[in-house]
Amino acid sequence: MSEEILRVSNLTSGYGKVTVLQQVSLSVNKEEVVAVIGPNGAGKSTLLKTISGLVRPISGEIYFKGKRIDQLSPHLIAKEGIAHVPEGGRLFPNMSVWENLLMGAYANRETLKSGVLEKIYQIFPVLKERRNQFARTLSGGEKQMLAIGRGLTMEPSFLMLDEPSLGLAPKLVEAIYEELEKLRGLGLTILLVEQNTTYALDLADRAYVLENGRVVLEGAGKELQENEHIKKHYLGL
Amino acid sequence: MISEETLRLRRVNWRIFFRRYGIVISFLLLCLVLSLLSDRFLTWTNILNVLRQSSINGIIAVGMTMVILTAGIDLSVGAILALTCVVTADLLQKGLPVPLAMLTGLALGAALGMFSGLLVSRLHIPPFIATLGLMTVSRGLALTYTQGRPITALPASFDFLGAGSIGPIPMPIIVAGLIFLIGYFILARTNLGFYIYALGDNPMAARLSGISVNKVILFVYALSGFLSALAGMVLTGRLDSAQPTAGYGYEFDAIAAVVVGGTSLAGGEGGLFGTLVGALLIGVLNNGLNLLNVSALWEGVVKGAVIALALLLYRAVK
Repeated sequence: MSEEILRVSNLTSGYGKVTVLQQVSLSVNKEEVVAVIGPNGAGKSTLLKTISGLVRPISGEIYFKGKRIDQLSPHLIAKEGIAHVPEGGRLFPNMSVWENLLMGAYANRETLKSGVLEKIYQIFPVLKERRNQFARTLSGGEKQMLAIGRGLTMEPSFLMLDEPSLGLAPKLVEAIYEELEKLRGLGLTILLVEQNTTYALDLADRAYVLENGRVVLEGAGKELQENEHIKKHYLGL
Repeated sequence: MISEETLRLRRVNWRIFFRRYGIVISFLLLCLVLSLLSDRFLTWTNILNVLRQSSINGIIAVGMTMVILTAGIDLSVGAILALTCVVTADLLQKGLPVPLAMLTGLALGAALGMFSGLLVSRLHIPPFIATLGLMTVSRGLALTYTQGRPITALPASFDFLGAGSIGPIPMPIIVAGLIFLIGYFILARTNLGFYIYALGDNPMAARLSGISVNKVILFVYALSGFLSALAGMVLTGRLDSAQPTAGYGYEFDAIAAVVVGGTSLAGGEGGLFGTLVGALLIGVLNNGLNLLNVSALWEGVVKGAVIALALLLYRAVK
């Protein structure tokens, strides 16, 4: 039986008076890759933002490694070991690639000493080649790699990715997912939010389907690929 | 044969060179023109004069640079200067020892700045509005506190900060120089400096990288208030008089120095070297207008035009 890392129970969240998530419950176990899929506006990004503290929940609870985190501010949640790679990467455009990576590590100086940058350069060699370039000069795929790399410099025990395939050419999407497969090999726990259902369900151990702010389906990744509802509405089969 | 790679690198390097030093070229051009038009411009006395006149704006502009780097703005600097200097002067007249009165004034400045920092970070009030409000309130408090009258005849040991000198160098220049050095150190060599740039570059990514964004915001506004109070003491010392109307319009000179110095109002880009040159450029400009006997009525127009020209030149080479 694997250990539960993240538990979200009965989470209702949104912006001001607009609720986006309604009574969402989900859990992520250690070394598991969990995907959340669903159409635009289902609340996928809001879910990640609420977990990382950018959005305050209206009701419900979030536990990380048994500790309640839903009232903490974002920088403290980051220090607990949750790395959130937001939609579109959200880099520091006027900083070099190297400085962007450093930003992840600055919050926890111990990681700098552990040679974490070398590990990341091993996973993403292109970042080493381009380490002195401004982040704004990178290509779309490289930006996404840098965003993931910055998340990894925090040496998180839990990585949340928001639409890593967004705006990328199909070939790059494939490349990114190959990298994610590598990360899984390293034993990382990942919560992935994705519209690209095919890739997400292929990678994920388990998946949740979010529609109109509610979890409507859940199951193993392979199992959901066979589900009639998923086939019809998400995979277009 | 030059490879394409080196050509590309060279082009990039020139661009970076102008980005960084374009304003210096504008500044040197202005100095050259003024030295041709007036033989008094390049004399030792006049140079010291320009430096001394730029120092108060320079001190304020250091704090303003950090605020603007976080994509904020501080309109309250001039009013905080006025309020803190009348309070300090009043305490001095009531017989409080000089160091204690100065500390009180500086703490008041920092506290006022921190107040706008709180409005910006906790209540998410836009910096423009928050500091505009604080500006109006502080100015009003300075006027009511003194009933509109200046406070004069202050202890000589207090006036030293503004009117004294060490060797041939006037104190205001020394104070401004130190503040620039400390500010440069903070921005270039500390984590805090790195956080300030990160926050201006992308606030959301900064939060997610584990930076306590609220504390950084609080710091920059508190520093800006603190430095306004310090600039106020230099000014009060120099005039031997604290006036509730002091510092009127100083926010614009400080913002001009920062922006002319190449710091982006959108945050995340720029630095104190540019602000130093920007403050000097404005100082030289004021000085030049005096030396050339430009009518006071035309001063604003000429000043604005020259600043716009300097910026245009800088953009053109960039």
